[in-house]
Amino acid sequence: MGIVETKDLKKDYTTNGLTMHALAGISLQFDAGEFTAIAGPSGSGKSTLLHLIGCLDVPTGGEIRIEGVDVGTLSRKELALLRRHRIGFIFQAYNLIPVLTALENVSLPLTLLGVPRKEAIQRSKEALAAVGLGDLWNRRPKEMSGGQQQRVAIARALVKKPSLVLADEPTANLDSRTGSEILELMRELNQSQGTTFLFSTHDRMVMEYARRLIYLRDGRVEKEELR
Amino acid sequence: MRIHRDLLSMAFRNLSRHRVKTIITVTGVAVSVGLYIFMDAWLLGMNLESRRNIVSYEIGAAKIQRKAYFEKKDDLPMYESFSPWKPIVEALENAGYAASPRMVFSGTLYTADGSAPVILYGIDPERERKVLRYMDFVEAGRSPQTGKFEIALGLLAAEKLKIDLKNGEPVGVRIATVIDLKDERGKVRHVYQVIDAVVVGVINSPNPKTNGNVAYIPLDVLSGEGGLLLEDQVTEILVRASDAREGALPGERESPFSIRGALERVGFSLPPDLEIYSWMDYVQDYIAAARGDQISTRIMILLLFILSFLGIANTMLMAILERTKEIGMLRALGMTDGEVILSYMLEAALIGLIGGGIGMLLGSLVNIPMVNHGIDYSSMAKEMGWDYGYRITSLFRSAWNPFTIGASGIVATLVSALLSIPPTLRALRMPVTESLRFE
Repeated sequence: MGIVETKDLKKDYTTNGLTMHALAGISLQFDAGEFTAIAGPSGSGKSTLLHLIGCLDVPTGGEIRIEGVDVGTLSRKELALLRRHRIGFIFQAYNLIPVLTALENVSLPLTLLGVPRKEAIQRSKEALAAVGLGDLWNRRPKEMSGGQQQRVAIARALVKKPSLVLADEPTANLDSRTGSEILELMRELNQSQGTTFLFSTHDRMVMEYARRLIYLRDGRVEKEELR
Repeated sequence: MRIHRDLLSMAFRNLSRHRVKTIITVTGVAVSVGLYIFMDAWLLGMNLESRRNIVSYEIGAAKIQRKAYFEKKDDLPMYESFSPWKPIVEALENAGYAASPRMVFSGTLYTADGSAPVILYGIDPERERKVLRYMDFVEAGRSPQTGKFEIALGLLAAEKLKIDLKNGEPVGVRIATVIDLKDERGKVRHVYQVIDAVVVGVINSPNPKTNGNVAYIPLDVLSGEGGLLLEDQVTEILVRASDAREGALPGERESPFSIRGALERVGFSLPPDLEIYSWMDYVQDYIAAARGDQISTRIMILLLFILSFLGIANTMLMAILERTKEIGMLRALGMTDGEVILSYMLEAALIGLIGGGIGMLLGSLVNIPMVNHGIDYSSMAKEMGWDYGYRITSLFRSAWNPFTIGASGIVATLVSALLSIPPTLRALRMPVTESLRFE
């Protein structure tokens, strides 16, 4: 059994009476420890697939199982708790809370999990050190570069040791050198911690880092590559 | 609990995102709360002072009157007087009360310089002193003595009649009145009567009712032929506990029910046509004025509160709208709807708490001089003839009301917190993915 399974997953969006099929029936399985890129042109359904797997949106049809649990049967609160315990997110725009320091941003998921303060601070500092920001824990997002902010976002996604990390175009807002550093970091953490990474991209350089590559086009899997 | 502490810390820091807006909103709440505390304390002070002055200078704790008199009391129906009053007064005194018999009637006072319509109180000066304290405020001259046709005038009447006792001898006056008597068949007869008396004192007490167009004359001289021809008749008996503290409002022992019970315990039954009425039954003008003031003040304060709460609602609406993306991220991290609502409630509650706290402090600071010194409205009040319902002649003082001070801060905090719920719920209705894309 994979960590994530999708079966005939569909997602439609209706705007002004017109229905657009963002996902037109996707069946995939992702195993623990994978480092997978979901690639494809804009509008191919990459982000939609990640959002559905991350329980941020509800599919129009089909099924998603995370660690064997059919998420379609869960309530809003249960979905929130599933995200809290099992899933880490890395966003293209970092999405850090501006009034909190790097350390506080990273420890937020641990706070939600009820981890004791002392332990949360210790683990957050370790996570920041792991992404190379051990010295910048007291800085606020606006005092950091884009690359540093994305590192904080990675630390925030990983600090709770989730079974799955979903990254939606994590390097899109970064220059190519910083983007490579971030991908190296993600790969390192994938290898050292065994965390499953699914990330979306349309950047060829980013695809090179993936061990499994899934191409989407018009809401369908066009092809799959294993490296 | 840790999550609550961290959410509170985050809420506190979020307030600093838009300092100017936060300061303006907090100021609005502070002004509303401060003003409410000030107005409430002022009204409370005026009411407390008025009540004390009504009881201490005007009525006492209760009155005994004939039921028929009470129903027409505004007409001063002398023909509904009763007799004998002495056994009732003695029974009250035996039961631990001070009692003062009175004959109240209207008339016109004439002097060489003019005339003035007055309400005359026939009193037993010794007993009256034990119930009411206005005799302590004889501004010029002295109080009238038993057995003599002497009167003490209210300050307004004295001024109207140009009687100035400070610079001269007692002044002779003529009282013209109509004595209303009931014959055996119950028909009211009117007898015109003229009483000659000497003004020996002018009263200026803290209760304007004692200083108006009123005159006090010994009851015993009224009983005879030179007076009202009403042998041993009175229209009312004022009652107060004999050990009542000066300035204290009537306690349970001074209620009509307790007074009746005390009379029964000393073996006295009140005649069936007589009733004991509370002092509150005689001050409709004051109650109407106080109620009117309370309503208008509350409406004004309510409008102020609405304005400041609209400010909070707007601040929170803007904050939530601006942070829609952040809400999406928090939900993606696994924050439940309840936790998101709580985080914004805490933020709004902090605005209410800080504003309410400052308002409580401001209101209390303004109250200190208002309680200790008050504002002297004596000239304006006199200009109005002291006829505005409240029984205060000069200093309008505030009174502390800890309940209002505490409650206004708590209400400001709670209402602020509640105001954040609708915009948060609106943001939560948006799918997480849409929130994350929101710009």
